[in-house]
Amino acid sequence: MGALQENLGANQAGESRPRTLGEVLYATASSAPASEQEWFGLVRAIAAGDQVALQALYERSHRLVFTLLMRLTGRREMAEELTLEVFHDLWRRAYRYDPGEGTVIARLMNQARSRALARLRSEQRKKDEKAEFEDERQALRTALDALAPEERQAIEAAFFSELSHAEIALRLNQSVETIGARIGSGLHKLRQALAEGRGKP
Amino acid sequence: MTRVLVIDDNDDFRKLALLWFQIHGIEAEGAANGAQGLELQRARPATVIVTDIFMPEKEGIETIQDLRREFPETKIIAMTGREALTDYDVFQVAREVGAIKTLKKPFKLDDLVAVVKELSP
Repeated sequence: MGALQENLGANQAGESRPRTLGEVLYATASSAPASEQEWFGLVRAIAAGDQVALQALYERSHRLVFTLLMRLTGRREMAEELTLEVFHDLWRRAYRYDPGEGTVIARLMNQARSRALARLRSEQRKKDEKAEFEDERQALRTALDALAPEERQAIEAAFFSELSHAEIALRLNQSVETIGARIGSGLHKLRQALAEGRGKP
Repeated sequence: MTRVLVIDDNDDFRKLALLWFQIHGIEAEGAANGAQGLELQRARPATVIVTDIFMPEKEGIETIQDLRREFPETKIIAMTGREALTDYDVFQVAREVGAIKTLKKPFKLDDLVAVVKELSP
């Protein structure tokens, strides 16, 4: 807060007014770019493959990006991972940066925000998906428990490990016909068990 | 004979659905994305295709369009559980490009089996 007040005080004394949050936060750092032109100069250098420029831009802006990501996700590990993703994206796509589309910091912050929201949405979706079809999963677990071990083994290999009959036969040292028969009888028993579970004959 | 192709990037759902179909005597095969689904359909055509609408690689609407173009006789069921980010009605779009039925997850797998049987020749 003291630094910010110092900056504001400097403005009142007639010095140039900071125009971006980055300029305010890094006003005391002598290596910070003083203008948007310099920020964009770094981006252009990054687009040309200059790793030192990437490091310089990272040093000047990663705290802002990380802070935003921490605020959006509330999780340090995720914020750290997404921060790296934002700069990795900058490294790969710097050539697309157009100064007409906003400041470099604003672009980085937008990128961070959309990545955080996408990650949070994806996590929520996975949670929702795990909760879906729970009745069926439970019924299936109960029905699988009633199978002979060799039938269950063959069915689990075919449907959960997604192996072909030939692959299962090789793995279990059985003939393909035997595996086919075990899967067939297992499926028949599962059908009966699920029907009984629903109260059907 | 009814043969179903399930296209969904959610492995858990796809495996469960495939097993559920087989338990009910319906031959079924699965693909994790639209491109893989198209390849499988070309290799071993299904009579009914159940596809998720939101998928990486090749998403559902585009997949439905391509399937409809190449396999006009195949019945397509579009499904999703994801809430649309806007008022854009993905089910309506899915129907417009060729889905004959739409289902919102979660549904009962028995209901999915019933719909497939209803659509089967």
